[in-house]
Amino acid sequence: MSKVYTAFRKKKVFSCVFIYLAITLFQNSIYASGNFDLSKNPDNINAIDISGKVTSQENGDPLPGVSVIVKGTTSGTITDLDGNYSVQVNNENDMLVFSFLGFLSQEIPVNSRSVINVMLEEDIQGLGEVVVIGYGTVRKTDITGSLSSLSSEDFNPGMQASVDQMIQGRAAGVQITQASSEPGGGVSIRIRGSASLTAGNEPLYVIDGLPIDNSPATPGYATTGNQAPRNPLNSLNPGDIESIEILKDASATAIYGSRGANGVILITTKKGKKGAISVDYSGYFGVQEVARRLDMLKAPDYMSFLNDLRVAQGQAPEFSQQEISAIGQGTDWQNEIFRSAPVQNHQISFSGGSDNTQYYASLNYFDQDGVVINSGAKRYTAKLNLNHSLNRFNFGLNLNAAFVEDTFVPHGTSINEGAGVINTAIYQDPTLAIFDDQGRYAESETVNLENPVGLARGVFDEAGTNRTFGNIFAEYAILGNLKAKLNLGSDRQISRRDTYVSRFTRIGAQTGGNAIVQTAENYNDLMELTLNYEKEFNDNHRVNAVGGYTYQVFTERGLRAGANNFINDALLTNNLAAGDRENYSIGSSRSKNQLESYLGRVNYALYDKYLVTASFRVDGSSRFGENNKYGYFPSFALGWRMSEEDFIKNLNLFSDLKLRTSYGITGNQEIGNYRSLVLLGLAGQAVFNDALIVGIAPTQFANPNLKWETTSQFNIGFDFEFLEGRISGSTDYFQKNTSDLLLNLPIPNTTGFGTSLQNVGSTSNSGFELMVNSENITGIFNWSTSFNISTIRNQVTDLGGLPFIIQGGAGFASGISILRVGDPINSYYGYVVDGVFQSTEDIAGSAQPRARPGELKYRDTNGDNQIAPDDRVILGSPYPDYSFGLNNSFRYKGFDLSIFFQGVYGVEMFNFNTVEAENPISFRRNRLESMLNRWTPENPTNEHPSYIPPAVTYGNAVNSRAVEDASYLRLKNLRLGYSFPKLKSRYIGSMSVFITGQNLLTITNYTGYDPEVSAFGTSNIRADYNAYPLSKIYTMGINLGLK
Amino acid sequence: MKIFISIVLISVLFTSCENLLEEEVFSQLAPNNFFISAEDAEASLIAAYAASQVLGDRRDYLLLSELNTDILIQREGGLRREAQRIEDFTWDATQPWLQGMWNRHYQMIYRANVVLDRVPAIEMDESRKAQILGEARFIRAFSYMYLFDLFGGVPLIETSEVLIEDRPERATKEQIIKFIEDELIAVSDILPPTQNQYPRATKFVALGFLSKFYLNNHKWQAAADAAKRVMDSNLFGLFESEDRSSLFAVENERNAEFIYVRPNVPVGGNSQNHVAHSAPPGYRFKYPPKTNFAAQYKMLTSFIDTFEPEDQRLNAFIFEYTNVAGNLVVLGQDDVRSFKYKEDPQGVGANSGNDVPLLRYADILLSRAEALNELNGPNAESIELINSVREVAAASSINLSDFSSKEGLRDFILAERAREFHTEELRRQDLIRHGKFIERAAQRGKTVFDYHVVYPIPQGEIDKNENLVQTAGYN
Repeated sequence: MSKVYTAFRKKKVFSCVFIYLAITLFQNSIYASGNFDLSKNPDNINAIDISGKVTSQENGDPLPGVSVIVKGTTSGTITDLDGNYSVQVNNENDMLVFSFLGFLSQEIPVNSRSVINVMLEEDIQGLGEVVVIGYGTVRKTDITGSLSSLSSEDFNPGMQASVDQMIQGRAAGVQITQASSEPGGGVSIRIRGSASLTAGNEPLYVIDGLPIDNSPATPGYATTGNQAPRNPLNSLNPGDIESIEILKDASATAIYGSRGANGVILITTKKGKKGAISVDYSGYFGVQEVARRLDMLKAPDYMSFLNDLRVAQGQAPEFSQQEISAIGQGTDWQNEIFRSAPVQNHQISFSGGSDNTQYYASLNYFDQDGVVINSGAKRYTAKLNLNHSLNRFNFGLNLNAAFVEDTFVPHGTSINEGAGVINTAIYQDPTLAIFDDQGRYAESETVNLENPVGLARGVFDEAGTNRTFGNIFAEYAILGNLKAKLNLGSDRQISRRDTYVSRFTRIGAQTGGNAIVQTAENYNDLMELTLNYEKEFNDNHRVNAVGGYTYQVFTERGLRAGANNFINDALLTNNLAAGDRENYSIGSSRSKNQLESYLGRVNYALYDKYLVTASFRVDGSSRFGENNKYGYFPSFALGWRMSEEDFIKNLNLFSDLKLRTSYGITGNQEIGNYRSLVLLGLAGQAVFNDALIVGIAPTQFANPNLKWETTSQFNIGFDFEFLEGRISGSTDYFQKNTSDLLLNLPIPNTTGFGTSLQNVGSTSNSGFELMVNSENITGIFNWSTSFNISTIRNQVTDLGGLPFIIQGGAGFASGISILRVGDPINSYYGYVVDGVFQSTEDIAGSAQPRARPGELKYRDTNGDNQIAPDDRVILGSPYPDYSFGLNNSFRYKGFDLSIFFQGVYGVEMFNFNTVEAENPISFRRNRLESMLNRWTPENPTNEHPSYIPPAVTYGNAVNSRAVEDASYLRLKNLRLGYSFPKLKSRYIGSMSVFITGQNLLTITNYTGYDPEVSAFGTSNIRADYNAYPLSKIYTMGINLGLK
Repeated sequence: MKIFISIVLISVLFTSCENLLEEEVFSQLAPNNFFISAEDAEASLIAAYAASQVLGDRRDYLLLSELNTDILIQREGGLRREAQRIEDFTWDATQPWLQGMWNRHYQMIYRANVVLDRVPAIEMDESRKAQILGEARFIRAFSYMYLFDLFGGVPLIETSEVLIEDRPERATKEQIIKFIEDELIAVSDILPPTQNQYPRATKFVALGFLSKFYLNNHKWQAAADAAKRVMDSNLFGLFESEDRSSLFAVENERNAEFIYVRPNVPVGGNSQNHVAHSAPPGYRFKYPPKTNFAAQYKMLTSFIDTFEPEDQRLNAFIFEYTNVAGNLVVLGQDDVRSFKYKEDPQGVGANSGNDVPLLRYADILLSRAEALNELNGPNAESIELINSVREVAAASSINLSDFSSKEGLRDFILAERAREFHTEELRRQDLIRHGKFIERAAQRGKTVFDYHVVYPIPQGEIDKNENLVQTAGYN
């Protein structure tokens, strides 16, 4: 298969994308725009007075600020706060143009009338007039910060298990990586690169104004070191999402202070609207297939390969010819554990409301089986959003309740006896049958791996997570423009995981069945009080200010109990007391942290042209040292709507052009609790008289000066719109410097500790982002394109005096990445392999004098004629040079088609599976099919060594063979839909159907399951090891609006 | 409206209380509620013991002590990538086990220093307090003994009041030797001859290690004298049984011969896993199910050939076995397995509960025999001591007349020590003491230099501490 992939030379592919984009843009430029003649200045001799009221068609509310212009003139007015206007026209045949951002403009002939009332229809094509920002909303035109605002039409279609999957590839500067493709598997999100080396790099999530703790509550794997986290957003139904705002620059995020440095994702759920009840059903069914398998040796090839290796070493063959001819195809273990798996989703929602009360309620059921047997996830959610306003009061409730049920199959980065199904399926002996003569899962005598099928079927591992979150708010207009709001929020997660390792597995047989029950509770309570002031002075000045106080408490509790040696496997985890008392294991934990904050922000707009935003937050966090509990996070931003200036207007090119720039300070506090204190904790157990006794010792250094990691960010960007809005977009450049890093600083172990959490070191990220939307063709046939691309340069700029820190490892390779000043964070680091020694002449005089032909030739980078750790160099970067997404949508009558490509270019990945296949820890493990092309005297290749264990070890497996190009271009989504025209049914108001395909095509040189994975979850250290494979997903669904 | 204002007021009142950001610690202890009682003193001492009982990945010190000697090799498994470098004398400062050893021993030292710094202020029974401090000093000296064995001179840290900015230099060999000797002598006067719990530091544990330490530093008279004091305690004796090799079976632990051990129970984290490494492929365990690692420990045939056929110590090896498929497999050249730590019937998976002896009475006897030979040449007492060890194993007795020179008896003792103490982590220091470590490696065809008698200071430590100077030869 890799042959096919290499056929696509990546450069060609990428240049194709660019040429395509260029053509798209060029085509747009041929739509000549009309001339706006604003020079006419008619006399007022026959003036006719016209007045009226402009209201919203949606809810009848008066619309203030609507521009009312006499067509073809510059004369006009805007509506007052109650939507009223009065204007003079010269001629009864004149036309009035009513326009208001976010609404469709209307042209109405005067026709001798003196009162003209108008209802404006909301322009659902635009992104809406108002955009949600931290602690409020802002007019889109007034935005000074850098943010990406996405609504339902921007979301990825098809099967989307969680909110973050919906926006993957859709926003520039936001890299969303599916860390694990297992159902409910976690994602890793990097907004504008990675800044922190030890603290978290994941953004803050705020759902309807409630900042949530996004660490997964589901207890971790009890069996196989799986470091890919669960996705905590699994408990939010993607179908309930109205819009997502991604805040990127300091002007947008500084209002979140100590949690803003990694960016902020604001999620707004659907709200009810005034009108009769509308009942909507949407649902889909789908099927998932493993997108790509690893090509391992089939049994006959495997047998002759091993024979060749043994014979080449002067040993007797492992298998006889008879055995080889009798084996058939052997067992294809990947085949045995993979399956095509169904997925289904059903949602019903009710919304509507009166003048005073609006509601939205929904129920959702989502059921996904995994493509690996015995894995899957189910979700049940209920949602209720209520809003009630009366005079000066406005009350509301947003409530989300979810139950998520996970079924896990053991997989992860563990090896050997502890390896999961993916690892065992890759490396298990293909000559081993699934079942032995007695019908039990066969055990290999020579390979210390479980039977993959026995392992998948023999481990019962389920988790149930209840999560309820929401907020209640009450707002009171103290004066017309001054509102006070109290917002109380809470997020309560309770999770329990039951794991039973039965005797079907070797490890379960050894322990006589092993049962573990784990529970975890995460609570988050918020109290927030804000004052909001909004005022316009004589049309020229507009002020919007917010000030507030918030207090948030996070608590966690955990409990764990385990037992083994059960009489049989029947009880699973349901009666731990039936296990062997001597081997009970128990544990419990509890922790808490608090945040106390004061915040303020002022937006000021002058002449609708000059915009200023200033914000400030004081954040106090319990996590920091006594001397540094509080941190101060200011930001300042300027905007200039250049399109309002005559010299731009005169260009007749831009319908909107805005220059934005901002600077601000944000922080990071994601270091876990109690890190500044001296703590005394369990320090291992000593054995005395054959009994275990617990010891207590200091577990960390105190650091009373521990403080915020500080990120200062400068941003400059443009928002633009030209050709009458056919082409719009934004572009940004940013420079992010992070200092006082919260770094687990390696310290001399003579202190008794290896690291201490200190504020040392710095990193920087700078980058460029571009988003472009284009309406290529409008009319009955409609074609629109959206494209985004970003590039980020990331580097370590200071390491507190250390020359470097080497990190990362799993299985049979350690020290795979380096932190070093001037290099990207966690660049891959190791030896360079320059092919294979072909002859003894090659070896003589080389740095590997005792090597034999067929062994790997390492590069002696420092020329000292020996292969030593000094020869290691940077082998690649886990940060792509470019990330991009390209969507094309077509509409014709009722049909719609969208095609979304997403990709990254210029990125590498450390492939542990290659390392393990090329350096098998036991002879009988299976190998990659590509290894058949091994070096032999008759096949003097430079691609593969002889795979005969070297006589003398030089270098090691952390070398350039393990670091692969992980650039890819993926056809991520393809959707074809059809909306039925007005139906005559008594019950059904609207109906549409669709089919989607996801991950249909991936073009890459990468040889693993998927170039996108991250075996270490959200860590900066990226690597592929036993990844749960990516799926191709085909779905078909229906949306029904019921009467 | 009133309700709303009340809510706001209540909220403000609620939030303006004191210490909103106080860190409440629930699952751990803090200095203000620890180091108060006698129980706290004991618990902090146990932490130091706990660190001393788990060495690296349990197997690392064994491999660092035997793989580069004339008895053991390691094949197959992921382990081999590092193990081969030890066997081939191609290790360097980045060898991960060295960093592990360094970290573990300085952790013991830190925890011992915590006891020594904090326990004196605790109000408790003074005699027990003195003992606790004595045990902590023993653990600290014990750690330095192992660090000295691995690395030579290392930084000497005698307080827990350390700063992250500290960049200590290496102490000289002489300073370390003096420190260890002084401390072991001092604690041997403080510690009781016996303790209720096993294995804890006692007077004779300290004296026994002191004897070994003198011996390794060629202080023959002092070594012989210290060994004699242990013998004269009459607390210890050689293990006698039908089969000498059953000394290492779990059921025979806590015998008079084991003076000090690294104790194990078959529970992960406090167990050992030797048998999982030494069991040959497809080995049918007596007490299944047990884990059989891909990595294989194998004994060199040249070493096995030094045993007399009737020597019961041969029962510690497996020469052939019936595999799980029922076939007899004969282990050939350099493929015999040490099953010295006999299968633990209670063992689970790779976790076995066999204690690993760190100091045996047989070692005291052979150490005194060796020291006396170095002092006086072949002599009756040395021969008698050696024979006492050989007799319990049913090996033939030797005669004084067999040895015409000091060198002859010295070589015999070195060979006898291999037969007696293989798989007990002593071979490397024995060869070094006899000046044979480098020579024999060269005979096995290794490219080897004199500086290989110590391991390099871990590169990670050199990188973090500019005052650490790498051992000559490794830089």
